[in-house]
Amino acid sequence: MKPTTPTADLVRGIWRENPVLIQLLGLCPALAVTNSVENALAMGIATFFVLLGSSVLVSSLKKWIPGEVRISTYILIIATFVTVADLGLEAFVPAIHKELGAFISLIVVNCMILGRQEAFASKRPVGRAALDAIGTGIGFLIAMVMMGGVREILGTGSFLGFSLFGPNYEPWVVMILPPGGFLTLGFLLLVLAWVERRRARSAKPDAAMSGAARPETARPDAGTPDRSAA
Amino acid sequence: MSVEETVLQDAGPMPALPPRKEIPSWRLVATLAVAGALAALLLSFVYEATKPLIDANKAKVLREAVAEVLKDPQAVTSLKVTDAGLVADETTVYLEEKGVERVYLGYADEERTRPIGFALKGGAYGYGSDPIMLVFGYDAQTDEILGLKVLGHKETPGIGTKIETEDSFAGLFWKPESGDVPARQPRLVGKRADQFRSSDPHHVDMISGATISSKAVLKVVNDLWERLGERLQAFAKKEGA
Amino acid sequence: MNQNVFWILLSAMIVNNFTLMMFLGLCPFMGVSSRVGTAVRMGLANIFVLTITAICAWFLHNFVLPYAPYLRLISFIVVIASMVQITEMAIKKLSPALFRQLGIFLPLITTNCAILGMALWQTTKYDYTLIQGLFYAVGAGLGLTLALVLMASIRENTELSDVPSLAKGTALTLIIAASLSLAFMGFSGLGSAS
Repeated sequence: MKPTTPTADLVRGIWRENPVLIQLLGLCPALAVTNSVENALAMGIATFFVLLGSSVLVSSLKKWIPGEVRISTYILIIATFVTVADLGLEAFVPAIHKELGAFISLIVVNCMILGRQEAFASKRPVGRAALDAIGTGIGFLIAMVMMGGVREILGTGSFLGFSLFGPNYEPWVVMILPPGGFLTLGFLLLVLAWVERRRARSAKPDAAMSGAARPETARPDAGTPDRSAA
Repeated sequence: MSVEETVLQDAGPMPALPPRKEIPSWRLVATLAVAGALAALLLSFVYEATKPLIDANKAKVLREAVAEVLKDPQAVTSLKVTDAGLVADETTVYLEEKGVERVYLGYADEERTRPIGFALKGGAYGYGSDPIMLVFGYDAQTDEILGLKVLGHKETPGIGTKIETEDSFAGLFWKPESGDVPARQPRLVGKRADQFRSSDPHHVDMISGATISSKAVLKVVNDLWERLGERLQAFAKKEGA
Repeated sequence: MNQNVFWILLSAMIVNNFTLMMFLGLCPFMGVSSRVGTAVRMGLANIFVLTITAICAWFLHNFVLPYAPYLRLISFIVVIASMVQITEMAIKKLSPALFRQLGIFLPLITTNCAILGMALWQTTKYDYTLIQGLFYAVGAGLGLTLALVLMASIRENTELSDVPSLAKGTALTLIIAASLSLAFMGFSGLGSAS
């Protein structure tokens, strides 16, 4: 592994390697609980907590975890943090816990978290692992809020419960229903690819042709099963 | 010297390379067992710490719903439903137990002499992936619905959600406060939804576009009434007399 | 509430399709849906693991978890991981050819949220009996397979079509999934209150 600077560790996951929008990890919660900004935020924060906790713990215990059972141990650690998050949400914000339901428990099988343990936390010192987890967690949170924002604004005409367009707005109910989740993420990816291509073109006007191929190569192909999402 | 040299040479790479392969399987099992035990221990503490809060939250939801549909009762008794009839609990229990069904009897005074009516909880599937759960108040003596409160549902936003928001539907179940001009007659229950005719005083109009959700609400009320009505009336007669 | 096993199966398979309506099992849905043949095999492997998990989850839920409810998640995930491991070993022994074809997809079933989701819903939300749970698991598996096969068929057909280069890949898959999901919404409310 190449050495990286602490800043790079922190910033990387936020946008350049955003877990949802670029790496397409953790699609399950990104689609299922983003029907309102509030739910998306709660899910993002819960995932952030689990990711940070597991990364720090895995990184500090890495000497004692034998390689053969590392994945099982990581899952055990993650499951413990998820149960804590689940019980915590149920005790302190029961309304949100009820909305999210079993999707909190399903954080366990979010590939993003296991992926960060295997790829980063198990090989780096605690501080770096924490920075990486914070960056990735924020990146996940941003993606969740983007999804939730688009869906809530179009689907109900409000943002965080505040009405935006007045009573005459006819909400696109479909956006907060399951098809809206797929549609929003699909179009979000399209817009990102478009922006990326524009940027590549304006940066290198002479390389416009090669720039056209960039979005596909920058993003792991959905056809490779080992990188695709949970 | 040569012996020492070989020992040194052997000792050199030993810690770095082979341990990966030579970890005995008991150590693997032990690692997992210790990790599992620690996790279980930690979780049992967290569970014990959060359980009172979680239980209190659940009980609060039901308590508030019962108070709402019975119009602020001064005292509430919880009653266990048994085949023989209703059995009152010593203290009012709002927390649900597996396999135990409870109904709630609200009183207008703290001495529990003037009963208002029963609050019943039930659910039925509408359009959503989860059943519509609701609590309604029922006056066994006059056979009237006192009020209705939806606890939770996953109906289509903007359409099925009208069971909660549309006054012309949810409002039908509200008994007008005394002194208010009765906008509508209080509704009686006891008939299946499809047997209502619009001329019938028991008729409840379905919300247009959300027929399935509306019918599910009526189904909860009708099913509970059919199943428990006689027992509730028997208990009310015994108590009220 | 409808507890008839036929409705449980139909509801898990179509009305509340795990992938298109509940967003579970998106991992294989996005990754393994480019060929119909692979999609079918992946679906069958999932049905198998789901069925075994349903039995184990029912057992844990009724005999172990009443004493330690906070261990639900941990015990379920451990059970699923071991079941996948056992399935993998069994297939390797019984049919090396099938094992080679399934390859990397088998261990991936562990992190398929459809399996854990099914186990959690089966026990906490619906509290099914063993038979009901089995029908639920098979229904969920058939639903996954249906979604995978539909997606794979469409993707095979769009492969040679003239799609804007921006949309190729995941974005297109997601937009197709949106229309499939829209179609499945037509089944909502099926078999509910009279």
